[in-house]
Amino acid sequence: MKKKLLAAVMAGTLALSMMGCAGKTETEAGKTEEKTEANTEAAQGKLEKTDTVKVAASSGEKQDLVIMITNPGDVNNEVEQRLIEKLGDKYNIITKTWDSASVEQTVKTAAAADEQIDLVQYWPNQMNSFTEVGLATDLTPYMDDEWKATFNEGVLDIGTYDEKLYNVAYKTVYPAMLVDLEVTRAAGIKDEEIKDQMTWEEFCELCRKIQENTDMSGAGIPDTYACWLTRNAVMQVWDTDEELDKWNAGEVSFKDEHIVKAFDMVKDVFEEGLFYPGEGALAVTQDQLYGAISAHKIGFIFEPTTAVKTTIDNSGLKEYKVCDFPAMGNNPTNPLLGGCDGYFIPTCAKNTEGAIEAMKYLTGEEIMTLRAEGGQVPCAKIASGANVDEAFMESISRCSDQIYPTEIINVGAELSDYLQNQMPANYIYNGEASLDELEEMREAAVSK
Amino acid sequence: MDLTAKAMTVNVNKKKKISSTRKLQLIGGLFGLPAIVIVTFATIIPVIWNVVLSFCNWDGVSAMSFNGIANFTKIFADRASMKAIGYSLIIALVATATAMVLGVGLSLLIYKVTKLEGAIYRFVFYSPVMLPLSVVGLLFTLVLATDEGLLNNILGLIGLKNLQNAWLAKKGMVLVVIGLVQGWRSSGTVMMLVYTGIIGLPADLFESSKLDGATYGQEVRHIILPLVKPTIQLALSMCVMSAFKTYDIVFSMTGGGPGDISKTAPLKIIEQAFMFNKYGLAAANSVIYAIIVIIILAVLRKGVGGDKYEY
Amino acid sequence: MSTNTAAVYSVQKKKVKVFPIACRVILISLILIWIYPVLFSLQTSFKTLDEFFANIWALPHTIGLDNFAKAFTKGHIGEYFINSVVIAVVSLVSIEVISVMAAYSLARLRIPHTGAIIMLCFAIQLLPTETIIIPLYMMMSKLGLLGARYLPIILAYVGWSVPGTTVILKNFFDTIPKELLEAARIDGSGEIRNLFKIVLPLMKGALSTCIVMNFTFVWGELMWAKTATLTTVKGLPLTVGLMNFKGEFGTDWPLMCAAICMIVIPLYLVFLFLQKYFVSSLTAGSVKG
Repeated sequence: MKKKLLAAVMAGTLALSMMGCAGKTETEAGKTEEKTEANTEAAQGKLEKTDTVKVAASSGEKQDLVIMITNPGDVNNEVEQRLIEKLGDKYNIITKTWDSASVEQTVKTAAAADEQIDLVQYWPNQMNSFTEVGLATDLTPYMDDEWKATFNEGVLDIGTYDEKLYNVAYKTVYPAMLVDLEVTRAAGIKDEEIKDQMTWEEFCELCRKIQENTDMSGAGIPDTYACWLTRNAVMQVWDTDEELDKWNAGEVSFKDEHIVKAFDMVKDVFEEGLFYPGEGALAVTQDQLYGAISAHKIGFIFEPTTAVKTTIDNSGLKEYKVCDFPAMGNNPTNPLLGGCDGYFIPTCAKNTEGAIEAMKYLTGEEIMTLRAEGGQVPCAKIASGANVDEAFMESISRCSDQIYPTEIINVGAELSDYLQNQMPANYIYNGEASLDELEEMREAAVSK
Repeated sequence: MDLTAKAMTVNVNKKKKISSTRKLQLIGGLFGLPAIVIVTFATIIPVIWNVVLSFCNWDGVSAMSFNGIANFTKIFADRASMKAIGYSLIIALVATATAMVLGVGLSLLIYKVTKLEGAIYRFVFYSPVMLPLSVVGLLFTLVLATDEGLLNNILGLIGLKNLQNAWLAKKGMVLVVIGLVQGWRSSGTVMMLVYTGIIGLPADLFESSKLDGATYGQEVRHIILPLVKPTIQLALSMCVMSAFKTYDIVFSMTGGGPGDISKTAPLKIIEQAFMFNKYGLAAANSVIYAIIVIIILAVLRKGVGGDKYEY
Repeated sequence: MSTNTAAVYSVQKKKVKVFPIACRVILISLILIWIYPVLFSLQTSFKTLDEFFANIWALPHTIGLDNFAKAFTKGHIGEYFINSVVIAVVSLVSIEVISVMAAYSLARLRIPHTGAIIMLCFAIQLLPTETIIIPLYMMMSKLGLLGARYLPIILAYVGWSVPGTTVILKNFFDTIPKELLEAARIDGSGEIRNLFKIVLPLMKGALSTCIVMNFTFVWGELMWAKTATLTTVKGLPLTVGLMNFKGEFGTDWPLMCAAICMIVIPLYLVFLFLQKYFVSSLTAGSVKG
């Protein structure tokens, strides 16, 4: 099927090296043409980074390069180490630890005082918090064809706003579901019954079966990711992409029956107690979830694709399977929320050349291969001989093509925060009233 | 200022003393100078900047533009901001009450034990204050977890299953729980302050009561508490203040959630500034918040304060 | 205190026999609640990550120092430790000296409107630190202070702590009998002499309380330390170093707890060391009367 082929493309060279080739196809939005040949070629062709890099005009003293690109982790530490080895002779590299809770605050404080920060990790699909006030450097002039060719088709669009590229993605993330087969087997569910792609109803049925037959929980989600359920629901509840586009543009009310139905769908599973541990499921932290997974208390665990490997390692799961996010609607394209982690250069950068050079290296073949080998889905080419578990990699990248390029959260920063940090909890606690608040924010954002 | 000061002192003192008073004031000014300089630099200027900002529109990058009181009216009209202030009040109330009762109670108990024992107790009861909030937050999210949480498991073990609860996921409940944790943590400070106050009391004050055969309870009521009142008042003010600065503890325990049922004013302020680039609005919010707290403090000082004993 | 309590007991032997026991029972049972977080950090620091997630509350299987060694090498805890010590010592000395002088002038040098000044001291501490950070950072950037190691952090800590410390000290200074100072003044004693010879010896308890409280703040502050060292790798304190243990998908808690133990233990030592001054202040108090 067309879909499956496209998935292979998006998943990058990994999947390609496995499947061999890919035909000409279209993205689900039907906007851009895929040039899959380029992908395959570049997989073999070597990337000559040094050609594209201009030597910084530093006479004698090494220029500073302040980067805030990683939070600790085995793969990230290695990446940072290699970057220092690579560029340490040229620049005086100052690495700062990245922290999701305070990255905005840190960068904006530095920018207000015009202190130097050259390269920052941020989510390409949430750049409006920076672009709205002109705090991100336009990277379009630096994105030459050669560099562009190394990226998987479409990934650069995610960080593009008003035709300008602000953020370069390096790894793909979308929600997936990790299944603890020990739990499902104990509940009398045969492995074959667990399809890669289930519908929401099928998923709920299996959860009920687990709860009826065992004292374990059907599903589990950490508090930070609970918003996926509603974000995906409001996205998948539309029957066609046209309707979805209208919704994503902020033209449809939050009181629309589709939307109310979507919120109810999520509310119901929480009220039914299908999520670990029943009451209090909205306040389960990642640590508590790891504990529960280790104790085999949960059947289906919602995880970002990049965290699946960490979860398996941390909790010591032996018998597992990775499923796709259950389909919550009837849209044939089955759109999925998701996105990438990426890099951007704040306008307070003092060493833009160096930052670009670092960015090129970080999205280059060497680092991409390293990430792939560490269980992450890279956004650009990796080496052909990479040592990756292809079956596993396929399982955490096969839905990449379903990732929808826009989401309702891009309409405005307030709306984005509400949908990401207050939902579904507020709907469950306050019902209708939360939709009124959302509707207010939507109207304010659209009229701006 | 000088004139009023003079007028005041004239009322109280004899004329003779005026010159020495002025000299003392001069020395006092010199003594206070370093404090004035550094506090002005690190606190007062930023605070003034903040107040000015609250009347402006600023997105953190472009130039500020004067905005009148629009930010303030916006805050008062914004349900979410008001709700956040309300949540802060609840947490502060619970936290202050907890900290004061625990702190004063502990200091009175510790006063009654021997020297070495007292040292150990003081150390232990103060230790939570020294722990980083990330640890306190982690520990309590784990202790209060619905399923594997220590508290629910203990309740289950002692046959109080019906008291088990989703402590951090229920409207209202979550605020009380955070307040209790915050109060527990700051009770150490109260204990330290009040204890320091008690041991500073002249021993002879107790002599007569001892001869009268007063019980410890009577001593506490009639001697200790009235005499350490200024210290208790101070501890109360500090408690109220730290109880309103709830950013860290809330952030590490719930992050303001689930939903917004524990989103306190400091969290809201940070969000308005750094997430939405509305620095003027955030400044206005913080000014309103500070004024509310100042009013509460002033009322408390009036209520609890009053006569000071000289001995 | 021992003589004091002993006296109480001897007089009221019959009446309050139950009281000391009840008192201890309450205290000891409370100790368990209070000490648990520390024990939890300590026991977690000996675990592996698997062990931690397998059973959060269980005791570690073995007591190894692997996490401590790892925190020391991987987390550069040694280097950060020295930075933190330098910052803490310089800040504390500055805070105490400045506050003692300010508090003395407020309490005993007839400064007018002390009530209003105290209120102001409270009020300026009320605005969330988070909103003060931006202007302070911009100011320090303009003055070129950010490049200097330690200085921006120390300046802020001193400026933030002085008002509160002054209020506390003033409160205690108020309890010093006025006559004591008046007498000294008549004898021709200077104010600096009065402060150091008469007031401070009586105020050891209050001062050590303040030191402990300030030290707790300075040693544990994160947000400003992080902001002030935003564009440098020099002079990072421990709290900022702790960020190195916050991973991409959750935190390596055993490693974190090992680091935390290394941070907290010095705190405890400082506290224990200062404890003895409470006792000496007690003696001073009784002599005074």
